[in-house]
Amino acid sequence: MMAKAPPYPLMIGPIHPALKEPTMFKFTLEGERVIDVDLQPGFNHRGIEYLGMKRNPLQVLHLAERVCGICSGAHQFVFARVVEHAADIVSTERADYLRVLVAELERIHSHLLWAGVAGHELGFDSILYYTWKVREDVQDILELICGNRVNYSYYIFGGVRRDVTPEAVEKARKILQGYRKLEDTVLNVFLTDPTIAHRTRDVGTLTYDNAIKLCACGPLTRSAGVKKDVRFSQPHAAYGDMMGDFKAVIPSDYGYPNKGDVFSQIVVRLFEVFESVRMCDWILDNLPGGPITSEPNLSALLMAKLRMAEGEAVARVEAPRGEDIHYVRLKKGKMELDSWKVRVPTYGNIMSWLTMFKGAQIADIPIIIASIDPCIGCMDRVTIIDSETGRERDVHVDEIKSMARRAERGWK
Amino acid sequence: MMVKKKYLTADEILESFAKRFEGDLIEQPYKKTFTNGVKKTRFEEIFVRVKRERFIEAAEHLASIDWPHHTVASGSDLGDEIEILFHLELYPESHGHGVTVTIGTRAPKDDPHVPSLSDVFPAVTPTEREKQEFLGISMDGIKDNRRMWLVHAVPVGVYPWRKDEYGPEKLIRKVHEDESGGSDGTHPIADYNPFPPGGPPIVKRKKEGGDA
Repeated sequence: MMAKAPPYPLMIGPIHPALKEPTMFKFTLEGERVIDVDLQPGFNHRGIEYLGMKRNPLQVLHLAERVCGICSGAHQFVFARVVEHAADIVSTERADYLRVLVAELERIHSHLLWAGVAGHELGFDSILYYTWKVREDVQDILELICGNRVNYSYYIFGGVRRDVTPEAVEKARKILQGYRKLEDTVLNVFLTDPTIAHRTRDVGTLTYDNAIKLCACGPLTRSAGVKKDVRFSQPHAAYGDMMGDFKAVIPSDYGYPNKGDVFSQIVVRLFEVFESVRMCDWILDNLPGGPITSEPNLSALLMAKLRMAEGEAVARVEAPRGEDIHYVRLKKGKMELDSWKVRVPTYGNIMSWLTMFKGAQIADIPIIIASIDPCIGCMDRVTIIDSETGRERDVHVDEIKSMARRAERGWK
Repeated sequence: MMVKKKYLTADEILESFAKRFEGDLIEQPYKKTFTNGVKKTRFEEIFVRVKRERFIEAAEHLASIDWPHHTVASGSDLGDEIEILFHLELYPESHGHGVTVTIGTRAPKDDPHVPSLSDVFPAVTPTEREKQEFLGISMDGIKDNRRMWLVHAVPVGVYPWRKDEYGPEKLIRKVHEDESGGSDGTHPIADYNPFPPGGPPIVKRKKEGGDA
């Protein structure tokens, strides 16, 4: 019986491999079981919103991209849209399609990256190497289209900065065709491997009610069966045109239960990869002609339109990890943004995330953390403090991993 | 789930707000309509600003239409007033009927507090904590009052989004001089209030009136 064991705290963070940026979790444990958790973010608060309020929208466009290294395109996409909404700029039809093309390519690369990280956290490193190898192909398409692999600098107010060449389209089609065979490899491994099932099924569960009540977003909420997806609830850019052919991915549409556990998140993310591949093909098939931007002269755009614009707007896009939303207020005669708020998907999932840890084992903490936030960082240490004696002990990540391995084999 | 849901249009939502909060609106609610793509699919955004005395009622009114998806709260320093906006979405699970709804309120700087919406929407606590420490405005009834986002090198009493004397300007060139620790990973969870004793800073109005 664990009844007499006092609850003791376990700090994870501020640096941890499952975290994109430094964050500290304070777990309260009873034996190996998590009974409560508190989150202290802010270790990497860079004041980007403050910086944005000191710069003009064209400068902030590139700053917005640097909010995140994985969904950089999503932030630029949503910032371009929010300023367009506030300043009454309209993007062109061809740009709407190209914007969605890059956004979906980014989703493929982000989800494959996440699948690798998830495999790594489960001790399945061969899947990490494989997914990151195939992820290089989509990075190649992005480089071909945007000129960059990570910070694309592709979106601009009124459209996009570069057109696609016929050669790029040809190559993109070929690579996208190659992604279909991932059904036999990555999908097959994640959905049928008994070790992965053992480590992820019924682990880190978000219930349907909590997903609704705590307003979770992205693949997390869809894994619980909530069909929230900004691409389809508010069809912007080219999503309105593809509404009839696509819909939000939830596990029950593919024959899996909507449990909201880590396994359901795997199901949602992997099927979204194939859905995104289909979307990219659809875009390449239906790409309309015309100009790629409605305002090619940047200085005229800045001086005449953005500086003289007065108004506010909210824009949202579905970034790979969930809904990304920006609010902007522009003041007439003022170059800088008057107000700017960025909300990244993980921010929206904080409250849901915390409920997912309750009742979990220590060994499951890394995968529950990684299940939401698919980024890799550097590991420092985890300190376990005994609350009675106040004694601290540093635990290396290998020790947690060996606990995890013992857990998956059913050892004590 | 099988019942076919009736989706209110943006105009109907606007009208219901305008009717119920007539006389207590800070400005007339308005909507923005956008079209994209070849088929020119429409989507809409609504902005509603009500006086803070009825702000919780406005949130409840929205929740009575349908359970909204809360995203985030934003805030601005308007000079004599601080504005807090909550961005939500109605019908987030629908296929093409989603409406972004922003409900907001304002508080004068000489009485900087607005009601917290955490009783209506449990998910708002992190973003309300953020507004407290970035704008120096108190959210009455907030569920968790601790400081959350700012590193400890930023002293209590400095609010980065303020454009008055409580803003961070005087601090910006001095952050690296702070020796008190901060983000070295050793400090405990922040358990102190974002405000100095006596509550949020009070700025006396310089001139009469305001545009509220």
